[in-house]
Amino acid sequence: MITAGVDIGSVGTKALILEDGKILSTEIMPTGSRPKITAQMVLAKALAKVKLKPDDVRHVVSTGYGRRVVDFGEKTITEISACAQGVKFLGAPKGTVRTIIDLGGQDIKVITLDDEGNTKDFVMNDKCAAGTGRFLEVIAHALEIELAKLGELALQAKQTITINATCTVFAESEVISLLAQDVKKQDIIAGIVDSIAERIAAMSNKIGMRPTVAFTGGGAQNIGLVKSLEKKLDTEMYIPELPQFINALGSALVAQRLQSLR
Amino acid sequence: MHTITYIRRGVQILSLTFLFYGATLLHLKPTEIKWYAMQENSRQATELLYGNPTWTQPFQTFLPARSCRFAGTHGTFRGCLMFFFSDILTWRPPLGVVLPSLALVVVLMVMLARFWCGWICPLGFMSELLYEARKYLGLKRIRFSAPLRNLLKAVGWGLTFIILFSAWFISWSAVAWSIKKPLYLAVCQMCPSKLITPALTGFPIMINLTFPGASTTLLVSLFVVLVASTLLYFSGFILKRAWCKICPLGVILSFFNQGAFLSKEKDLIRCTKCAVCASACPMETSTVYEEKTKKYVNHSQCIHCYRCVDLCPEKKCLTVKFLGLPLFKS
Amino acid sequence: MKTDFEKRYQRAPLHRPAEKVSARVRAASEDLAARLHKQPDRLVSLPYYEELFTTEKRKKELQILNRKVVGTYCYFAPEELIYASGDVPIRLCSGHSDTITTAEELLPRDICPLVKSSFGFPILGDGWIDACDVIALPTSCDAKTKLGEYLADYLPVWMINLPKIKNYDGLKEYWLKEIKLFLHKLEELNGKKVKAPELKNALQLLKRRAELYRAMYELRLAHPLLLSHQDLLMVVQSSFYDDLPRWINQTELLYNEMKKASATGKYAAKGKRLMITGAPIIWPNFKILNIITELGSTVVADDMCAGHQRLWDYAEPDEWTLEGMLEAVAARYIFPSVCPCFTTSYDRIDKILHLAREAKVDGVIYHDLRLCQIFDMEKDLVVKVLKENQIPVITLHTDYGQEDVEQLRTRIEAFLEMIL
Ligand code: SF4
Ligand code: SF4
Ligand code: SF4
Ligand code: SF4
Repeated sequence: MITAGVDIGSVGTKALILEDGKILSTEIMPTGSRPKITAQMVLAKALAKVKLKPDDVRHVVSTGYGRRVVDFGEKTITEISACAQGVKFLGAPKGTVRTIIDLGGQDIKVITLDDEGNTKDFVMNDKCAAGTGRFLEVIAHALEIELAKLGELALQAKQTITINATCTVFAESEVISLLAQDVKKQDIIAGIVDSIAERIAAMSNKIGMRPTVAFTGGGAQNIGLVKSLEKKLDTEMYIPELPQFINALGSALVAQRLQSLR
Repeated sequence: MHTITYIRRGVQILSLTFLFYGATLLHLKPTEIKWYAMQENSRQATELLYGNPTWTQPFQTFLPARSCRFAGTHGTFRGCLMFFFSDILTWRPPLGVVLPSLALVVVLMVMLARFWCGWICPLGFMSELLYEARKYLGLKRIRFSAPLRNLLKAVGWGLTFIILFSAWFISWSAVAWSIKKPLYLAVCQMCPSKLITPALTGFPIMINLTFPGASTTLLVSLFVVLVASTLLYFSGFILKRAWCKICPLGVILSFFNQGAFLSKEKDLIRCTKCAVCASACPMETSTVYEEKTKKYVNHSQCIHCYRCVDLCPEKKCLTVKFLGLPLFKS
Repeated sequence: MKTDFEKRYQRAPLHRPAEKVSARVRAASEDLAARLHKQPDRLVSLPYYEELFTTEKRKKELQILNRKVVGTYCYFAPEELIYASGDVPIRLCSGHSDTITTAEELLPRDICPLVKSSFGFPILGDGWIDACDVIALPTSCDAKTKLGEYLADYLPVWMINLPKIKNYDGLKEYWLKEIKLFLHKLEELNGKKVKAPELKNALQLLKRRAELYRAMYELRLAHPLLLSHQDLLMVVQSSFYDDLPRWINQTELLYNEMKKASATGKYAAKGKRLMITGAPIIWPNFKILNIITELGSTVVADDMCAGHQRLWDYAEPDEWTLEGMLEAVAARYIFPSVCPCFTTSYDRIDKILHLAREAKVDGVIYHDLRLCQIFDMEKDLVVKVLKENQIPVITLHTDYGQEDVEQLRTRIEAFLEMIL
């Protein structure tokens, strides 16, 4: 049986096709201003990759910020449950996952799991974007660097500088003034990454983080952030292969369960 | 509304009537009551007969409340617990003679502790009536401040000690008669009931400041204490149950408050900490309000009036239990 | 009329009637009323209360009434005394987001939305404050403490010096003095002394209100949907404005209707049973409640000063002398209060635990109003104790604005999924 999960995030929309526990294909696109259309397109593309027709998919479950706008989903779940489901499915290559850190476009989520892998508790940042994926994007733009390269560059830093990441707008202007002082871009990026890691670490400690920690979402692709966060949390993290697709995976799994209920 | 208070008032009226007028009303067979004085040569009590017979039950003639002997002809009991204890300490009678009375009194104390104060004691009841009169007149009450309360508590302890000690002390042969005589039954010499109860029952009030062979200084000092305690009693008009805060009988009963068969329990979570109980308490204890970790809320000075239970606005927050069985609930 | 602010320095009071803003305020109330109106199987006694929010009837009545109107804030301005003096209390705490921008012209931005929202009205020359003769303002939180000086430019203001440490012996006397001072001010305002029978009437009236509320609360434990929580808060909050005897009569009708309706058995809770704690949720800022309803769950309890707590307590004097009643009034506002402006949160935690158990809730939602420090600072301990008691809890950090509705929905939905 084939099911699909669609995760309509604030920055990217992802689709994942699943056949009996095997991932067939994935697809990601920027969400843009018309999430409904984007979601349809992403799903169509993901299906086209493996030469499937929409009719081949038995169930679609949507998740993410825009989960309620899509009309093809039979069920919606929140990204928190989806994320927990996805991680649970991936098993425990580095030990049973008890904490998930998910860094998405506009949210930082820390989810704790009980021994069965169900959500025990979670925290999310407030409506402020500081420290989220969007924040990294703004900084990358200010530094005129590609988002994907931020991680690598952070690792090349020679000195540590402290940057306040409590507000996106102020952090951006701080970056610009540091640039004016001829501070190296690598050092600035390292400072930014550290400050985000600091924020995330505070959130995870507050909720009572227990190893093993899984790091998911787009942010997990930033190697600099991963390293910094591991240092701050004093634990090695498990980073799934396709960190941005965990939520889509989780909802595709929920879609499979829809079937078994029938 | 305020059911417990009404029930209690009823019980108080009945018990006052019984204690003070029982012998007359119920046609109980009266026997002689003896007003003793210490006799020098025989080391015996002289019976100064005032010709006031009262009824004597087969064994129990004392209650752990002010069942005062000055109720005279009309009264039902031979005296209060303090009188009984003093008497035992002075005369040290053979145990067999007093055992039945003693045992019963102790059982009554252990079972009900200061419940006697709140429901039975006529003196306590009358002081509440005084207080009601003030309410009726709309005069302002005065609350005891915490330091004053502590002071009164200490005075009560001191008084109790002096009473019991003096009763024992005068039984020593070495003590001079001029001291023995005035100190005999010092408890009654200082008790406001000595003035109040006779006034209600028509028994003649006896104050003798020049007893032959007795130290006048001591007699006068005791009289001063009597006046002071009576004044304190009447200050109960604006200070709720003023005398009860130092009453030696109350002090003795208060030792049993913690382990008595009667106990108040509070549901700590239901309690909204509104302090209604604290402001309603006639003994001005605030344990019921202040206790926030243990469910038993029995202050040593609590007279089991259950005013707190009656007024507590939270359902099932306070429960009075007798041996674990709920009696009253808020 | 006397004020606690003897003018030596003065801000330029801003008067800026703005029909657009006022229209938005009215629209917000009307939208909410319309929304509540559409609830299925709604009791017929309820539209009465809507009118207090959507029409000007009561305000007009107040303006022609030959009684002084005392505007109050918070929970602590003693209503008993105001009624005993023959005056009318009106609680001015507002939940409108539309007046905030107006207020921000004078007030700093970084203070609690409730204070900003309420202060928008005197600037606009609109709302209930228009009908007030004087304002009684307790110094509960920092923002309220300072609000008096701003309000003093518009109306006479009496500050009520609220103590913050619930220490029985010390506070009783101090606070009783403050209560008497307040009574004295009222007596001066009305030019006559308050006598014991008048105070007794007021106490009994408010006790009747509390007993009525308690009866409703109990009925609702078994049949929560007799009144959705929005409706319940509407009923409670309409008592801020309505004529008290009339409100009581109407609410008795409502109660009787509830009793009858409960027999049909169709008002059982839907979905999860939730409790709301935290900062006040005031008309028309019912967004969280609306989201919960949309997600198919039911709020069954709250401990808020503009909700349950407001009508629960009453003064219970030991004796019905003037002094005795004043003592009881004083005690009633301080000791059972669970407002976080007091130094410890313990009493509040007990209250939450009690309500959560009694209402058999599946989870607790902690409504944390942005920039209200006191609720925020209590949050940690409340959350910890609730979790220790196996009660799931989620914190929603939000304000009066509507822009975070989707994020709130995600959080609440995830929470509901979690406590499955
Ligand atoms: S005078 Fe006092 S101590 Fe003596 S019997 Fe009477 S009540 Fe008891
Ligand atoms: S304290 Fe003394 S006077 Fe008061 S009620 Fe008790 S026994 Fe009677
Ligand atoms: S009256 Fe009842 S609810 Fe109030 S403090 Fe006392 S025990 Fe608690
Ligand atoms: S604690 Fe309660 S029962 Fe005891 S004396 Fe005080 S009000 Fe009466």
